[in-house]
Amino acid sequence: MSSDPGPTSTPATRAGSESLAVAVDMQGVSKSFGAVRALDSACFTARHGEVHALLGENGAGKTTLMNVLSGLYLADSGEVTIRGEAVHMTSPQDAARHGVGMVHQHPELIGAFTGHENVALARTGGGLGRRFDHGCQELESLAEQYGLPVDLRKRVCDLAMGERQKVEILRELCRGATILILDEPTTHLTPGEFDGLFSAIRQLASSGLSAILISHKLHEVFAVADQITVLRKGRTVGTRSRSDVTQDALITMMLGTAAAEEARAVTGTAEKTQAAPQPSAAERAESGGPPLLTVSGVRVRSGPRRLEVDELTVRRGEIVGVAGVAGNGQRELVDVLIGTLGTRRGRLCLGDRDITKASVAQRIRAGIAVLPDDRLHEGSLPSAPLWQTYTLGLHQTLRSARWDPRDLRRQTQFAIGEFGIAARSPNAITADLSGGTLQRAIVARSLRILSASNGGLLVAVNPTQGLDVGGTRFVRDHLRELLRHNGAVLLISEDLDELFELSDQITVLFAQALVAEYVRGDFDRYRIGADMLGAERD
Amino acid sequence: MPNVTELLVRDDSAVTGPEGSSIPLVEVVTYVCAILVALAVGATAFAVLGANPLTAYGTVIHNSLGSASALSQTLNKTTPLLLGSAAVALSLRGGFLNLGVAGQMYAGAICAMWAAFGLEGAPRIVEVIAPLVAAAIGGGLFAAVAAVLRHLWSVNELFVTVMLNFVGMYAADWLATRVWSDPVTGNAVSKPIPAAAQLPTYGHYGGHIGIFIAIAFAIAIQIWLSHSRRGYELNAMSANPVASKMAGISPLLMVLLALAGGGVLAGLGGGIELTGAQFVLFNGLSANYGFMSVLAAVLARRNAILCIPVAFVLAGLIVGTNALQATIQLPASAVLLLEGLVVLTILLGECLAKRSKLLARLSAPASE
Repeated sequence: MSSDPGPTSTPATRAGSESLAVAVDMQGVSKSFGAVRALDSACFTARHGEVHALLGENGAGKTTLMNVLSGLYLADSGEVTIRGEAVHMTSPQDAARHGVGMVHQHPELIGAFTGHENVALARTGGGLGRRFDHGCQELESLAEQYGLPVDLRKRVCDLAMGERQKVEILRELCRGATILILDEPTTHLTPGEFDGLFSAIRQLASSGLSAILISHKLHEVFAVADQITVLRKGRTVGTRSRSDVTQDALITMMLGTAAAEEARAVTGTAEKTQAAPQPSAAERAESGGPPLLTVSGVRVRSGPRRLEVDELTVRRGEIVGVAGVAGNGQRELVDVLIGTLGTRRGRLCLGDRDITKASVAQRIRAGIAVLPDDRLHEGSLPSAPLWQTYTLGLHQTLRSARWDPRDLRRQTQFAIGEFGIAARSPNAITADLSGGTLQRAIVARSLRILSASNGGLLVAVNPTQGLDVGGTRFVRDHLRELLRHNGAVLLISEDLDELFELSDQITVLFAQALVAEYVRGDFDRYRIGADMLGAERD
Repeated sequence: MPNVTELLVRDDSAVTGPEGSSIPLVEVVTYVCAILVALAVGATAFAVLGANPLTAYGTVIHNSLGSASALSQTLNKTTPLLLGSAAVALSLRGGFLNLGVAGQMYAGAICAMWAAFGLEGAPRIVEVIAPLVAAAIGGGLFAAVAAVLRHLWSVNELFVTVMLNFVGMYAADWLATRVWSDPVTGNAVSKPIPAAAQLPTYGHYGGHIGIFIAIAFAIAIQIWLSHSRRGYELNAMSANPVASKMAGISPLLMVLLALAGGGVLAGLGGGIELTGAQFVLFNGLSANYGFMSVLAAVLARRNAILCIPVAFVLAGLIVGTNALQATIQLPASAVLLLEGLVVLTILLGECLAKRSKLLARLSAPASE
C-alpha cells in the first residue's frame, strides 16, 4: 500500500487549513430508505483550498451524504450550510447554483457526443436555438490550466476512463462548481492514471476549490487528502488531519475496534506478501502441480469482440491473477473459457482433455465454474427463488439423477447452513438478497460444481468487489480451500491489492491480449500498472 | 418492443413457480374485484346502448351455460382457446412472446385437412388421429421459423409471429378457394373434410372430444414445466438469459421448446377446430383466437393449468355475447366491446393492485 505523499503536496502548504474559509457545513443530517437508516445525524465540514477525503466502508453512508449535498437526495432532517448561507436544495440544479458539482462513480456522459459537446451541453441553460458547438479552443486551454489535459474533440466513447473523468470534472467546473465531489474516482483507473488525477485535484484545491473525495481505499486517501472525515454506519466518527493520523487509527475509526482487528489481519498479510513473498506460496509455485488449464494460441474475432492469448497455464493448487483495466478483454476471456464465445484458432485443454470444441454444459461437467463479475445479472436468476439460482449450472452436473425440485431445495437448505448464506429459506427471492449473500451462494454453488469433478478451475472475476470484511474473508478462504482440494483459480480482478495478495503469478490483459507475465517474486505495482495502460517499455 | 415482452413475462414466477405454490388470497380478491368492476362497466355500456343490463347478463349466462347445448358450444370454443393460451403460456415461460397463435392454427388446420383428404379410406382411428398429428407438426414447423430467426439473427419473435399470421391466413384462404374449393357453395370456403375424419362427439349437442385433449395437454405441459429439468431451464432462460447461457443452457433448444413447442399446441388447436367444429377451411377459421389466447395466457399468469378456467370463461363470454345480437338486438360491435372491457379491467386491476400499498399491507399478514 503506497503511503508516500502525492507529488505536489507537502504538509507545510496545508498547515494553515484552519484559517481557510468554510465551504460546506453539514450538521445532523439523517436519511432513511425504508427501514434502513443510511445517515444518522452525520456531520461534515469542508473548507476551500483543501482536499477533504470522506472515508468509510461500503454502505457507511459516504455517497448518501454527498448525494444530499449535491441535491440528489432530500435529507429527512439536518442542516446544510454553504459558505455560511443555510440552503435547502431539492435538485442537482439547485446544488449547481450553489456551486456544488459531483462526479459520480460511473461516468455520466453521452458517449456519442464529443467531450466538448458534453461540457457545453451542461453549460447552456435554456434556448432551443442556442449554439453550443463553439468555444472548443477556449475550453481546451482552460483544461490545460486546470491540469486536466484531454482531447475534447474526440467522442466520449473513444476516450479512456481516466479521460472521461477529466471531461466530467471539466463539466462541473464549467458549471461554476467551487465545491467538487468525486465519488470513488479511482474505480476505473490504473495506478498511472491515479497520479495524474490526484495532481489535478491538488492543483484545483490550491487554486481555492474545495475538493471532496469519497473513498474506501486508505492509500489513496493518504496520497491526496488534507483532511479526512470517517463515516461508520451513517454516523460521523471524526475528522482528522492527514499529517497527524496513522493508518491503524483510521482503520479503527472505519470499522470500530472489534472488526478492526480482523481487518488488520487481512491487510497485514497483504502488506507482508508484498514486501516478501509468502514462503508457502513460493513453494507452491515452484513445486507447481500438474497443469489444469492450458490455453495456447487462442484467437477470437467475433464482431467487435477480440481476444488473443498465446500462452496461459494454470496449475493445480495455484492462483493465477489477471490484471487489467475493465474492458480490455476480461469478458472475452471468461466467455472463451466457459464456452459462450468460440475461438477461431488455438487450443484449450482442461487436464488432459481438449475442451476447445466442448459445449458450456460439457465444460461445466469437466470442471469449470465462474464467479461472474456481475453477480445478479450474470450469475443468478433475480426473479426466481434462491434454490433455482443455486441450481443454475449445478444442474449440469446432476444429469444422471432424477429431477426433483424438493431434493434441490433440500440441498440449497444444506448450503445455506454450511456456507452461512443469510437467506430465510431456499424459496427466498434471489433479487432480495444482499450482494454479499448472493456471492456466498454463488461461491457455494461453484464449489459444488467443482467438487463433482475432483477439483476444477474456478474463474473468479472481481470476487470480492463490493463485499465487506467478512464477505471478503469468506471468498478468499474458499479460494484457498479449493487449492487444497486439487483445484485452481484464475483470478481476474481490477483490484491490484487483491491480486498481489492472492496470486502465485500475474498476467496482464491489455487491448484484448495477454501482454505480460510476472511470477510472485517480480510483482511490481508500477510495472504492472504500466502494462495495464499499454505503456511502451524501454 | 422488448419492454412489452418484459412486462408480460415479468416476475410472477414466484406465484406460479415450479413448486405450484398457493396463490395469495389478496390476488384472488383483486381478481374478483376486477371482474365485478368489469361487469359494472359492461352494464353501463349496455344501459347506454338501450338494453337492460340484467337481461343482457342473463342472456349471456343462459346462452353459455344454461343448457346442455349451450355448454357444449362453450366447451367447443374453449378448446382452441385453451390450446392457444397454453401455447402462449409456454413461450412466455421461456421469455418469448408468441403472437402468432392464429397463424399457427391456420398452419395446423391446413395440415390437418391435407392429411384428412390424403388418408381418405384409411381405418377410422387413423383418419381421426393422423390429421391431428399433422396439425401439431405443421403448427410446430410454422412457429419454428420464428424460433430459428430469433436464434440465428436475433430477429424479434413478435414481428415474425405477427407477420406469419398473415401468411397462414391467406395461405388458408387460397387453399380453401382454389385447391380444396367447394363447387357447390358459392362461399369462400373449402369442401368439408371426409366424415370419417371428424372428431368423435359426446352427448347429442355437437360437443366434440377435443376439449379433453386440450385439458390433458394443458395439465401435462404445466407439470412438465414445473417438474422437469427442461422446464427449469426454460424458466431460467426467461429469468436471466445471460446467466442461463453461462450455465450451459442451450439457447437454441430453449427457443425451439418455447416457440415451436407452442406452435405444436396452437397447431393442434387449429386441427381440432377444423376436424371437430368447422369441418371446412376458410379465412376466419381462427376467429380471434390468436389475440384472445395471449390475453388468456396473461390472465392465467402464464400457468397452463390456470389457462383452463380462464379459457372457459372467455369462451363462455364469446358464446354468450354472440347470442346478445340475436336476442336483445345489440350490434355485433357491442359484443366485442364487452369482451375487450372485461379483459382490460382485469389487467388494469392487477396492475393497480400491484402498486396499492393498502393491498400490500393486507397481504403481508395474510401470507404469514
